[in-house]
Amino acid sequence: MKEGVALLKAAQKLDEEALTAIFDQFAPAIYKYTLRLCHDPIVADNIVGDVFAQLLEQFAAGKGPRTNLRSYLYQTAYHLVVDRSRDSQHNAPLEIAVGIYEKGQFTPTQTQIEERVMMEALITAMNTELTEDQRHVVILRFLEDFSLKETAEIIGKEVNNIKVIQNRGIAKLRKVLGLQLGESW
Amino acid sequence: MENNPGDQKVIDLLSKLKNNQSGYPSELLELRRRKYMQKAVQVGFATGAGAGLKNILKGGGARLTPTTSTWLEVALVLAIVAEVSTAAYFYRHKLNNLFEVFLTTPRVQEVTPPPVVTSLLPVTEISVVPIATGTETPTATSTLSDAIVDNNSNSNSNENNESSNNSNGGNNQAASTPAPNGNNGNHFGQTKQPPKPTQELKDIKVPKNK
Repeated sequence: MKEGVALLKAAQKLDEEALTAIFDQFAPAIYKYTLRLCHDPIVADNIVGDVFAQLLEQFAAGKGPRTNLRSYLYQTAYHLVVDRSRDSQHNAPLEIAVGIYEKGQFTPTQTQIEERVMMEALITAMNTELTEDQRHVVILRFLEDFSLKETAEIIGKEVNNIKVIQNRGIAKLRKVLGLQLGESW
Repeated sequence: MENNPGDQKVIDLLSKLKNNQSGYPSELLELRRRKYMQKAVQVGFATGAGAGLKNILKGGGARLTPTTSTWLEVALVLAIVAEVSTAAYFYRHKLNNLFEVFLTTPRVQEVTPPPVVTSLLPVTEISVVPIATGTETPTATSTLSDAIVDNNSNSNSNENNESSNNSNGGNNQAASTPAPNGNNGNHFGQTKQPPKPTQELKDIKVPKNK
């Protein structure tokens, strides 16, 4: 934590090493998060660029995060994704978001095939069945490992509200997957 | 939530999805990193320049001791005096001409006409003038007309009665005005001053024909 605070203070003074360290530490994670939301690697890359450009501008203006840099970066990315999704709807192939079952690289077993089917069903349900808030909360909580409090800060809602959104989202996913995958659910 | 086995399955699937997520493509990451560093350098330069300007404006850049600043002030004043003296020496003729022109030029006084006072009592002017003319003119005309009347009467009498004319001995002189006895008719200072206009005089109508 001390290293994080020292890094943040150095970055506020526009220290080059600190700024580089921040980018190397958080850019891949922000990219993954953005890609899960917008399903387009180019758009995700552009959003990463916008997120760090805004961070630099905030530091130059003497503003920016004081304590939780990670939460701040995800919050910025979240707002940028929401703004872009309002302008246009991106529906990239699901394989870009999953990125694991590349054809021809290995011969899947029966278990792997079942798992892939479940995974694709889950991704489809997340993209089609969940509301925007539910999808954001599920991604932040279970894919990015943010706490309830941090998620509430990023989304801009109360913690209790985040709990409700999360429960409803998981319940909806369970219901959709149960309908698609049969009695095993 | 975790009590429901279906929910736990969903969460397990989500954790698998997290672990299997594709990473940032290395080409894109390197390009983005380079752009970010360029931006950082630009922002840092701009911020550094701005901070330097702020320091200069605040006077916090290079602080001087009081003695040094006093010496600098004295040197600055001496430099200004020397510069002014040199300039005055080189342009002394022009300065002399300028002073002469300035001193010899007559100063024009601006004369303003007296303010026109509008009288509140316009009747006074009208009442004074006719009285002055009215006293002298009738006397002059009256004497002349009498003389003419006398001449006419005399001529008529000559035509009617020549004997009476001869009795005058041919001295048919026109009747003249009596001797003034030291009074030539000028009554300087004796003319009665018109009474000061009062509210009653305003009501008096003066005939304009006079």
